[in-house]
This record gives sequence, structure tokens and C-alpha cells, in this order.
Amino acid sequence: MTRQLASIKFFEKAIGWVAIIIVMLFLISFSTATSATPEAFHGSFSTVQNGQVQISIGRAGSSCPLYYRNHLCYRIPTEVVVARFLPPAKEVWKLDLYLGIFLSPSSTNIGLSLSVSDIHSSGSSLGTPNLRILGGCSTCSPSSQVIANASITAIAGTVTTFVPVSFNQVVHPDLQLHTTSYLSGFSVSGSTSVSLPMVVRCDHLSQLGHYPGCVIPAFIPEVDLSGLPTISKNIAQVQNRGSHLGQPGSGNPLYRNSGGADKAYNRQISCPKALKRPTGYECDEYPFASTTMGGGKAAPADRYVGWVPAAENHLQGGLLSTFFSTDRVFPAFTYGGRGDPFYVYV
Amino acid sequence: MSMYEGFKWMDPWVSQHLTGSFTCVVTSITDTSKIFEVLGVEPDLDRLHGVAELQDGTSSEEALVGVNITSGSVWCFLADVMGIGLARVSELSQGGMAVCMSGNENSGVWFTVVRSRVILAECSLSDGGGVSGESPELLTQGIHEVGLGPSELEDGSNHPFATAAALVHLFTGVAITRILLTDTDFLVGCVPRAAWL
Repeated sequence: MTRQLASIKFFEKAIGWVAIIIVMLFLISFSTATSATPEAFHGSFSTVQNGQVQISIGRAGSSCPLYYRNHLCYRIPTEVVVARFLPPAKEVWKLDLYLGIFLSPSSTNIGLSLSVSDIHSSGSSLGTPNLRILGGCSTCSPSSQVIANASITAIAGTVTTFVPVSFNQVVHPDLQLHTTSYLSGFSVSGSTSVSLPMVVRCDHLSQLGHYPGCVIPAFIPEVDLSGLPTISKNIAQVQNRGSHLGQPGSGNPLYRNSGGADKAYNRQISCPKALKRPTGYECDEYPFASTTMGGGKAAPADRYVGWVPAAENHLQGGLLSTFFSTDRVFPAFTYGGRGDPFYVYV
Repeated sequence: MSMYEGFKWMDPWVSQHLTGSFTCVVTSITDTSKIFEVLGVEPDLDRLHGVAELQDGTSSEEALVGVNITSGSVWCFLADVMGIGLARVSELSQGGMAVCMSGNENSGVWFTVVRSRVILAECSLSDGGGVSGESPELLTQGIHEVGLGPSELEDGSNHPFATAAALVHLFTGVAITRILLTDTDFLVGCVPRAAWL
């Protein structure tokens, strides 16, 4: 009997800790109702070494509050299960990991930050597991680096990775997050990896200015023309009727056209050169000539053409140019095509 | 080579480097503190290098205006990408003269000559439509001197920034070169949105 007890104790010490499960539930809904949702996470999971543990994936959770053209936050509900077989015991850790993605309109550096909140455990007390989280993308430099490696109760960290983009090239970095959970002193671990293949877009298009940059393309940005007294009043009149074209929240954004010939054609249709211009005034149209609905293509209730002070019109153009550059609003690549959508705030 | 031919690089350059948006004023005010006073801003202590940095620092809330005095003691060169120069060209002609070229995504390219707050001549070089102002003959004669014809003013130019730059050169003697735009330090003032109009 004594020999049997000793044998059991030895067995417990040798293989008692057998499993760590990490289950990550990925958030796919976001708080900004006016914009489409970015590409969801796609999870792939490995089992623990001895194959005795099943791992599953689900979707749950409320949204992160942050979702802009250059900043996105994912809430990742995460569950780590630490199990002991002899004697049977289990501890379940639940927490929310927050992944922040920070972008710049004038560089292709991508900041990744991780933090944790709302952490609690239940069941037997079997020790505090650690998380080791790597982030990066296959074309990034570096392609993978440790964002955080710490106790599950204090996991946090920030890294910056660089996406090489050549002139006139567009790149969708396949951002990836690889998480391993482990207990100090034990070799058994659980791991999972997720990818965000189309969430971020980086470019160095010549039409968007001097510098390359990255954005969250699914977020539809707004250009603020509210400070232009005559023009904002004209646009507001159009937005408050018809299909509310271009009005934030309408679900009916404007789309940038290819510029160049597209823009010149629209200007000529709406503001023919033959029109006699009052001194100090310019012809202005909404939707803008630089959009697919310019040039009289919008329904009568959704368009406007009139004379506005030239200086105000130039400020409007400056604001549009700056907006297209800072929010990296893609032009259409072909004549008559459709580029990125945007709204106009007045 | 005509004066105009020497500036044909400018339209593609502005499109590529400044998203098609560029405004400059050549003013006879050479006291930079006076210029910043007209703009209603305090100059920054830092200088910026090239107009692309002006664009990089300009947002929907504030616009950077660069001032360069190295091109000569007779004229001062102001640049921005928001169109601030055009909005202030009248004030910048106080006691002398100011010449402005301004173009962007929405408005086409505009050329203006002002003396002591009086507009002598102005026209849209992208859209045409003729010349307005107190002395339109300044442009109708000047367009020949830079190597172009009257159709540029009536029907619009295929290279409006180049045409405008040639006219700036004609009226002021200041040649807008690539070096001036890319390799020159600018004193910088930050004009808040509330002061644009």
C-alpha cells in the first residue's frame, strides 16, 4: 500500500500538469455604425502536446470604443484553462486582451499594443499562467517580435513594425498575432494564432502626396468643411434633401474618382468655361468634381452648382487635397471608376 | 526656349508631391515679421525644409505657411498647400505688390496680381474665362511675353501651374525652381482654421 501511494505521488509530480488550453474569442463588431466592419480575425489552433485536450473557437464580446481611419482596437476575449489530471483539478482564467493598431498617414510604421483588463479566475488554484504574444506580418520588418511576455495578470506591451512599400505600390500587410500560454517550469503549453489579412492598407501612391502611409480602409473618413461659410451652407442644403448624399451617417457616401480627365470632364459639365464668372467668384459644385457623382451625375435633388467666393473655394480645395492625402483616400484607378468612399461634414 | 517652357515640370511635380494643391505668393513686403503679422500668426522657432514638409504639417485644423527670403531682398516668397496665400493676397500687397498662383483639387489654378489691395488682373488658368481686374491688359500682354497665346486665358491652359509660374517670373523676376520647392528652408507660421477666412 505504501509502495502504491508513493507510486501515485511520483506519478503526480511527473505528469500531473498536462494541459493548458487557450481559447481566444475574437471580436468582429465595432462601435462606428456608419462604416463597414474590417475583415474579421481568422483563428487557427493547435492542441497541446499530448493531444488529449480539445480546443474550440467562438465569437463573442462587445466592441472596442476606438475605430478610426488610423487607429483600430480589437477586444479579444480570451480564456486560458489550466488542468491537472491527478488528482483532477481545473482553473479557468478569463480576460479581455486589447490589441491596438496605430497607423500614420505619413509613414508605414505600424504600432501594435496589447493590454489586459477584466481578468478573473475560477476553480482550483493551480498557479498563474503566462502569456507570450508575438506580432508582425510576413513582409514586415521585423516579421515577428514579442509584444509581451508576462504573467497573464499583467500582460502588456508595445512594438513598432515597418512595412516596406515601393513607390506607387499598395500593400495589405498580413498582420498576425501568435499567442502561447505556459506555466513556468512545465513544458506543456497551448497556443493559437490569428491573422488580419485585409485590415490595414499601406501605399505610396503618387496621387496621395510625398510620403507613404497606412490606413484602416474599411473606416469611411469625413472631410470637415464646416468652417467655410458659403460653401458649407450650400452643401448642407443638398445633404438635407434627396438621398442625403455625402452626409455623415446617411450610408450614402461620395466616392473619389480617378482625378485628371474625370475631374476635368465633371468640371466642364457643371461649370462650363463659357459661363461668365463674377469678379472674385468661382463656380462650385456638389458633389465635387473629384467624385464619381460630380458633373451632374447625381439626381437633381442631390446636387448643386453656384458661385462662391474664390478664396473660399480655394480653401475648400486645399481642405479636400489635404484630406485625401492625410486620410489616404484612394482615387479610382481607371477612368469612370470608383475610389475610396468619404463623407462631408458641414 | 520660352519662359513658359522652363516651367513645364511644375504641373506633374505639384500633382505628385503636393496632391495637386499648391499656393504661393510673391510679395514686396520683405519684413518677415510684418508678413506673419498680416497672416495673424507668430512664426515657429523651427524651420521646415521644402514645401512637402508644409503639406505634411498641414491638417484640417491648421495650415502651415512657409516664408522664404533668400530669393532676394526685393521679394518674399510664401508657400502653402491650403490656399491661405490667395485668401490673404490683398493684405500681402499693402504698400506694394503681390502676385499669387493657387491651385488645388477643387478649384483649378488661379493667377492674381494685386497692388495696394487693388486687384489689377486675375484669371483662372485651368478653366479660362478671360481676365478680370483693373488692368487686364497686364495679363493679355504678359501671356505673349512668356511664350503663350490668348487662348490660355480664354480657354484655359493644359499646364496651368507652369503658365502661372511663368507669369510670376515675368511680373516679379522670381523663378520658382525645384530647388526652391524641395531644398529650401522656410520660416513657418501655423494658421489655425478659425483664421483662414
